[in-house]
Amino acid sequence: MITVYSLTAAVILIALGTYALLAKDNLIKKIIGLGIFTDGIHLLLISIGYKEEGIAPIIRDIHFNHATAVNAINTSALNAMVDPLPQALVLTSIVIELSITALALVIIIQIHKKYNTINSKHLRRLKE
Amino acid sequence: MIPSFLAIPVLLFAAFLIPLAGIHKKKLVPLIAAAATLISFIASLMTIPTLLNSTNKILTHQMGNWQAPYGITIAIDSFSLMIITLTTFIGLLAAIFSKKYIKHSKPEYYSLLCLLLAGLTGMAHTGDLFNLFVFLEITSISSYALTAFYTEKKSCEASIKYLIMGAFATSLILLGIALTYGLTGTLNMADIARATNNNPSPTIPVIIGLLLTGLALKSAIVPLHAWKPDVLEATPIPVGAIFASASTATCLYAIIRILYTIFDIHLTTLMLAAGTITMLTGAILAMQQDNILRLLAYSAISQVGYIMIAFATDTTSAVFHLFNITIIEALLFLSVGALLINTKETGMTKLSTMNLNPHKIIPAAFLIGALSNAGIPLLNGFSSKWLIYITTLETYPLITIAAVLTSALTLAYSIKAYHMLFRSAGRREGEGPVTNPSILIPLITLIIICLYFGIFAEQGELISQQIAESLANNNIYIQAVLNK
Repeated sequence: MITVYSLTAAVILIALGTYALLAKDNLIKKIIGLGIFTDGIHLLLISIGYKEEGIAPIIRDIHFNHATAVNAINTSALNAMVDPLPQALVLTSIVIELSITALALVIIIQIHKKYNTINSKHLRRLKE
Repeated sequence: MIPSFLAIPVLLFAAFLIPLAGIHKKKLVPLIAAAATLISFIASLMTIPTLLNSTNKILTHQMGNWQAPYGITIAIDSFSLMIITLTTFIGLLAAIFSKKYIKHSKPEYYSLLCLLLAGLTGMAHTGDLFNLFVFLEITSISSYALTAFYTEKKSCEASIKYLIMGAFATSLILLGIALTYGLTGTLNMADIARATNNNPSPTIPVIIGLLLTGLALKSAIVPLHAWKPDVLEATPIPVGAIFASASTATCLYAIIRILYTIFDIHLTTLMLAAGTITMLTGAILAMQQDNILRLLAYSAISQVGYIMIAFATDTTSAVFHLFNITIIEALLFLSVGALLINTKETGMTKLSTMNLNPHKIIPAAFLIGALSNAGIPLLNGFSSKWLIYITTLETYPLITIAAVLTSALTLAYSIKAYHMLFRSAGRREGEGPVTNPSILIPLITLIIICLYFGIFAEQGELISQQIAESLANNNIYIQAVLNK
C-alpha cells in the first residue's frame, strides 16, 4: 500500500518539477523545479526497492566469499531483505544533483552581476 | 585488465593534480594535462592489439572480481575502442592546442578539460547503465563549467541554458534507468539485454523513449539542438572542438549501444526521419549565420543527421562517417581557433576587415576541413558520404537526394566562410604569423588523417565493416559479459 502512495507522490513530484522547469521564467525557480523533478525520480527509485516489513540487507552468518555469496544466503532471508541497490543509486544521484545545483547557482549569480536580472525572458542577447 | 581503462584514473588524477600544481608551478599545468592525455591515448592504442587477439573481440573486466550481473562491468568491443581512441586523441590535440590558446595557463581550465575527457572515456568503457549515467553527468558538469569559463555575458547565458536543458535530459535518462531497474531488476547492459529479449512489456518503449530523448538532446539532434550553437559560440575554441567532435560521437555511441546492444531494436523509420530533418535544418540554418562558430556548430549538427541516416541503412558507412566527422569537426574548430587566437571577434563580416595574417597552414587546414565536410573526393568526408549515398540510393532514393542537397549547401556556406575569413580584399599586412608548434602540430596531424582516409578509403571501410559486424549481433556481447 505504501508503495502505491509513494509511487503516486513520485509521479506528482515529477509532473510538478517538469512544470516548474518549463513554465517558470525565474532561473532560481527553474533550478528548484529541477530539484523537485530529480527528487521525484529518487522517490520512484526508492519505492522500487521497498519491501513491506523488509529487513536491512546485511549478511552476517556466512563466511564471506563473493563468488558464492549470493547462493549461500538462505532464500527466506533473501526474500525479506529490501533491495539495497536503489538506495545506493539514489545516494549517487543526490550527490550529482547537489553539484549541478551548486554550479547552476554560481552561474545564476554571475548572470545577476552581468544582466542585473534572473528572469530568463530578459536573457535574449543571443537571439538576434 | 584492459590497458585503455587506465585512461579514466589517469585523467581523473590529473584533474585533481592540476589545481595543486597551479598554486606554485603554473608552467607545469599544460604539461600535466598533455602528459595525462598522452598516456591515455597511448593506453587506448595499446588496447587495439589486445582486442584483436582476443577470441570474441570483446574485452571485459569485472571490478573487484564481483561476478557479472552483481558487480560493475567494464566491457569494450571494437566500437567502444574506436570512440575511446578518438576521444583521447582529440583530447590530446586540444590539450596541446590550449597551451598557446589559453593565456596564463589557467589551472581550472585544464582540470575541467581532463574531467571532461575522463567522463567521455568512461562512457565508452562502461558495461553498466547507471555508470553510463554517472559518467554522462561528469561529462555534463564539466561541460557546463567550461561553457561559462570566460564568465562573459554570452558564456553565462549559454551555460545556464545548456545546464537547464542538459540537466532535464539527464534526469529523463535517470527516470529511464529507474524504470529499467523496476522492470528487469538489473543494470548490467548485457543482463538487461538478456532479460528484455522477447519481453513484450509495454514499459520497454517508454524506457527507450526516455533514454533516447535524453541522449538525443546531448548529441544535439533536431529539434533538441537549440543549446549547441550558443554553447559552441561561448566556449574556448579547443573545448568547442571537443564538444563538436568527441562529445557528440560519445553520445551517439551511447544511443547505438542502448538501441543495438541492450534492446536490439533498430528504429529505422525514426532514425531516417530525425536524420533527414537534422541534416537539412542544420545546413539551412548554417547558411544564415554570420558568426563563424555558430556556422560551424550548425554544420556539426547537420553532419550528425548523416550519421543517423547511415545507421538506419548501413552500419558500416555510419561508423566510418562517425570517425571521419569527428576528425573533420576537430580540424575545422582548431583551424578557426588558430585564426582567432588573438581576438575575441567571431562575426565574419567584421573579421573580413581585420588584419589577422595567419600562418599559411591555417587557411589550408580550414579549406581541407571544409571541403572534406562537404564531401569533395580525395578527402575522408567523401569516402564515407559516398558509401552513404550508394546504400541509401537502393532503398530510399529521396533521402539520397536530400543528402546530396545538404552536401551542396555545406559546400556553399563553407566556401563563403573561407572567402570571408581568409580571402577578403580589405586585408592589410599585420604582425608576423603565428607559428607556434603547439598550434601547428594538431592541425597538421588532423590534415594528414583527413588525406589518409580520403586516399586509402578501403582501409577505413574495412575497419568500419568489422566494427559493424560486431554491432550486428548482440549475443556475442551478452555472452562475453555474463560468462566470464
